[in-house]
Amino acid sequence: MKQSVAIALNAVNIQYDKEPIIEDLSFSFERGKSYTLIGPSGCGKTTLLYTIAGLNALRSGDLTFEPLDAQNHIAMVLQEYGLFPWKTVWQNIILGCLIREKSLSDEDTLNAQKIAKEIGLEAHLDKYPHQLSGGQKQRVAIARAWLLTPQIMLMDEPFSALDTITRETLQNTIITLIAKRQLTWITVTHNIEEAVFLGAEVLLMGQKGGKIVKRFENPYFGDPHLREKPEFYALCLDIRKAMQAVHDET
Amino acid sequence: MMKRNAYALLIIGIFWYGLHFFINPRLIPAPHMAFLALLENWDGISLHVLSSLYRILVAIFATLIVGVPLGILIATHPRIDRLVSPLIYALYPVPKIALLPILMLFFGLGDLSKIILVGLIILFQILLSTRDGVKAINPSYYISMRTLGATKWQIYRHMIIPATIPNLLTSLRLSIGTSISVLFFAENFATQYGIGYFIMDSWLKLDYKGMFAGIIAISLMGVCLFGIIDLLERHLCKWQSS
Repeated sequence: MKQSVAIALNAVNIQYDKEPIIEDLSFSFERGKSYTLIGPSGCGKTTLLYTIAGLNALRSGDLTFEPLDAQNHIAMVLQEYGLFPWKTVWQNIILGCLIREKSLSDEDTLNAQKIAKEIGLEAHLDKYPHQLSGGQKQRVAIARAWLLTPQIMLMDEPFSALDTITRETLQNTIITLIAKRQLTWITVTHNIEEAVFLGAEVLLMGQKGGKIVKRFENPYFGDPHLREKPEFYALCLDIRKAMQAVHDET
Repeated sequence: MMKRNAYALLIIGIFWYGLHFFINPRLIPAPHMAFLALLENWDGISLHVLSSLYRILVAIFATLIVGVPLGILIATHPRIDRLVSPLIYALYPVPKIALLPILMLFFGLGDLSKIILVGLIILFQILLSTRDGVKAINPSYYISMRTLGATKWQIYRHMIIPATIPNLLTSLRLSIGTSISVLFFAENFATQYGIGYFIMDSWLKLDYKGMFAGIIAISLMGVCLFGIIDLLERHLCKWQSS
């Protein structure tokens, strides 16, 4: 069944210091689908993500959301966690709610407590970020984003600083969250296995200009045991070959 | 904390007794004699201490009101930074203490000219430390705030102000030391109240016990002010001590 469009980019151009990063990009992200963006360094993945988040201005082109107010319901998880060291874990989790709603309702408090429990942060709520491991910090960032009940969730290389086991544990957490709500997820990653595990569709970007050069549908998406199956590695291999081809073009 | 203070007192005491016994017992009274003189004259000395405290606290408070917002403004607006920072660098090294006669001419012989002098000296420390504190904020925090949809005011409230507090407290510590030194000088002109006046007056009267009692009082004043800053730090920067 064809899903409706959540985010549409039409002939989008973005520049940094007069240097074009994304040139004439047109693409539609379907609602409720999980995408992963993969590609060489400097190809414009993060720029595209930040543009969707409203952090970059378009030089030309259109970026539209469906429904229109979806752009006010975007949450983002950053590579460097984006936690504030002067706030406790609890204060960091509820910060987004405080900022967007100006106050914290009883319902928000209950939700925050529930999410903290689900994500495994219950025992750490009074701690400060520097007292947490990298994995725990990223859990806080995810909890903060999740509490905002977004329609669109963006993640910028969320687990790149973590060791393999912590990374896979968090990927499993994400898969559980994805199954809970029909959100549009877009994850930027450098890691092919992560791209396949977290993406119902893997988008490979070209070396320059922010072009999406190849799309890989992932029929196995959502299976928490995917890493144990040969299909997973076959798809990873296909993507690796395509990435190598992109790399060799330069 | 108590142990640290006792240790500091012990070192100062030993050094002081050494000076008393080996240099000149008449010029340098024994610490216990100076302490007794402080207790005996506490009613009079406390008035001098309160006058000095009043001048220091008003100067610090006024400087915080001017220096912190200005420091934040400079740090967050590069164009203002480019215009104002060279001016600050040019004025900071000028010995403001030389301005005392001019300040007395314009603001009178009373407290105001002394408060302005102290304020002028510590303003630069507070302004620059605030500016540098804001500039040192990790850029990813700004991105994080923007992704949460924070308004300008919310960015100040949840990020810029808390991030600046540790730097501000450090500069307050430095400012307290500087304020007491400057005030000691300023209180020797056109006033009969202030611990600086009391110490110099005792010296001129060859009342060395009184002079050292005043020095102990000024030191205790500093200890109390630093103690308040430490308390503030423990309360406002829990994340640093956890």
